[in-house]
Amino acid sequence: MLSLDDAGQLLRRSAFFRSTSASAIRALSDHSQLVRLSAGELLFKKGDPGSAMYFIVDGCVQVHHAEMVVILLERGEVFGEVAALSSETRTASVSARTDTVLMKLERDAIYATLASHPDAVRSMIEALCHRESEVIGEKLGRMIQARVLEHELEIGQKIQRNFLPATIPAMPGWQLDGMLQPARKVAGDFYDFFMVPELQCMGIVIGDVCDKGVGAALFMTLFRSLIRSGALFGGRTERSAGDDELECTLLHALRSTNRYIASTHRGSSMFASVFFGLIVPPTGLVRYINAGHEAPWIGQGSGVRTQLSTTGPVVGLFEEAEYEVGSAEVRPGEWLFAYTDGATDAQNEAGEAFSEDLLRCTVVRGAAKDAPVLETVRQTLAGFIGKADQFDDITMISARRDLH
Amino acid sequence: MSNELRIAVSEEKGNTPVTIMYVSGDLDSKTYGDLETKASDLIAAGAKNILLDLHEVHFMGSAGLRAMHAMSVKLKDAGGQLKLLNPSDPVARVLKTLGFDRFFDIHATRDAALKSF
Repeated sequence: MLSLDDAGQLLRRSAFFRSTSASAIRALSDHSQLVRLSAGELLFKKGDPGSAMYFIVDGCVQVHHAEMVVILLERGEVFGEVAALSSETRTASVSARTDTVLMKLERDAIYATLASHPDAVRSMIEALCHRESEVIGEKLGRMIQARVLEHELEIGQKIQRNFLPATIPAMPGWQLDGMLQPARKVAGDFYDFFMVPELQCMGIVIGDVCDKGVGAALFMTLFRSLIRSGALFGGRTERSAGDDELECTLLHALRSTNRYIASTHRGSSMFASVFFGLIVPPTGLVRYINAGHEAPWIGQGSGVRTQLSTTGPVVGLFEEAEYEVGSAEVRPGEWLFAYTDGATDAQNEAGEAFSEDLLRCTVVRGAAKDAPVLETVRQTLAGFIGKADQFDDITMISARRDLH
Repeated sequence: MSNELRIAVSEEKGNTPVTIMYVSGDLDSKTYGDLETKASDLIAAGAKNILLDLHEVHFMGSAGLRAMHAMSVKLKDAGGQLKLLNPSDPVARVLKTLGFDRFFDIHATRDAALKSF
């Protein structure tokens, strides 16, 4: 059993009561109670009202908010002063980490002691100010850290722009367009346009790496690069004459990308839905692979004529995946439009989704006008979303064939 | 808004022992961790074959699909398998569009599923 003298000695050792006179210390310990906690026991919860301050006689407590531990306190330390000395509620939860013995000082007793012992007041104010300056210091440290991270993300964003076409290539007889609106600083969506000179055709790609943020962005660069590289370099020399070159190029690009990521990055289970098409400009022929992606539309003034459904699974998960190559045609005056689910899943402030139907109407309506389709869709989406958060990356591409 | 994910487990001690995980709620970016953690615990405790009952899953996002793939990789490495049971309509649709139905064994009834292990 702790004697009052011992309790007093312990109190004196803490920062709060260091410069307090012996008689003040005695007055405090006279009014104190011992509280025992077993390991794991909760003393009070964040937000609870409180009127007692605690001094740790023996043991260890954790100051926490749910599962997040802020700090561990041990013998000789004081806590709970904010709720005890003011009308504030408990600033955090406190639980015993080990079996613990606490000295409990109630508000009335503290204030009565302070009233008759001015030296104790000074000591307490010193300790409270010291705590406050520590908290401010920590907050500043965190703000600086946050700013550094923000800066890193901005760098990442700039670099990621290099993985999107800097300019949309010109294609005689066609208007090509693409846009990507990331939900965060960096995006998991991508799109691409590139000429395949040996085949005299234009590759168009749109993709959506699962999830969003930094992880998706890192894989975005990998998917985009492997597909482009696979299409431009390799595969063609191994083929015999008579093979469909467009088909072989598409299959080689997607198969090699899929096999590489499914095996090399097996442990991360990352995947992307991808639409990859090769357009022959003079004829409007499109050969394509749709790997688990939202079906692009081909349409004209009165509506969507056909959609290019999936021809294989998403890319990056299943090494043995087989892909088929589809075939379509963009006739003179028609357009091809592709999007990621960020557009159809976009929510307004009421929590309603934009929906595929509304996107289709918007695209058809926009294509009938003289202005670029994507800009019309972007504006309509922006109006719909309003002040709500943009939940997912929004990406769209269009390839529009001149009438003559 | 995501519903909580609830997971119940039962052990089937047939010719091939199978652990059945009954999952209900939404399998999204907030809840997929619960599924992964529970599966890891079961695998650490010796489970080799797991059957995921998806009938009461209302929503399956990419996070859920990734978690399922990760589980199947772990089980395959341990010489076992992950199979799927009776997915709800929305989940069945996602599995089909993304091509999961060709690479995961999906069964309509518990008995058929258990016999297939």
